[in-house]
Amino acid sequence: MDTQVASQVDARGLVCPMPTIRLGQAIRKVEIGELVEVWTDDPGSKENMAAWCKNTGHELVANSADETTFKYTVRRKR
Amino acid sequence: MKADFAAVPDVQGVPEEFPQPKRLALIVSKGTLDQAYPPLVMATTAASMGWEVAIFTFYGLDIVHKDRMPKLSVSPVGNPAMPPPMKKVPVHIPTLVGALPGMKSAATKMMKNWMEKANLASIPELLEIANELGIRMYACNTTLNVMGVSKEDLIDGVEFAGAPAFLDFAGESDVQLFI
Repeated sequence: MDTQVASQVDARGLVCPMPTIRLGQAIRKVEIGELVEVWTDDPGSKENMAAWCKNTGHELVANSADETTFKYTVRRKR
Repeated sequence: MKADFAAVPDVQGVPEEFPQPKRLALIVSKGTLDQAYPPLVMATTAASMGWEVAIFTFYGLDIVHKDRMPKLSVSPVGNPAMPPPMKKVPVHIPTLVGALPGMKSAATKMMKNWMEKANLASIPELLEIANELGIRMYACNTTLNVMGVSKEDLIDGVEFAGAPAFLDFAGESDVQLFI
């Protein structure tokens, strides 16, 4: 399995629904099995990203956070 | 603001058999700036989640009107959602003052300014995203006649269908919303 991030989405400063919309745009541009990383400062993003992955069938493989930014890594599955 | 990760759900697996995409049927009942956002945000989000989405505009026809859509306004009169003009002073504009000439354009300017500051996409931007995501948009013929709007006045991609078509789509949808 590929562990390199194929595409990075900097959605910091963007409000709902833009982070998940940008993620959706990015995931269509990578191959199945590749990873997209999203950066966001939306405090609702933890629920939003999980819901997005559950509905689209892509896989949330990692998440982390520092002082200001949430980072999510999603694998394109379909 | 410190990012809080305590409540982040565990990294999840993906089911082998992926279910059919869900469907969202939306009625847009108002064509004002403030009321154009909720349905468009909901529709674009659902479509980004792989849902099949159809928007039916009845009195919300202006959101797909070529000339009026970029200039949607917000009425300060009789609008309980109208926030106070100054954030630090929680005084709402009295309805009588809101009815004075120029107040509608002032309220619209104010709201657009706030939306820009909050980095919210504009209505034309959301419609572009909707189009990109394959959201189907329907305008009701009866509404067109009532409001004196011709088909040529509407943005590209709008299809024409009325109540029966909405009910047919809504009947087979997982979520139906009247906004």
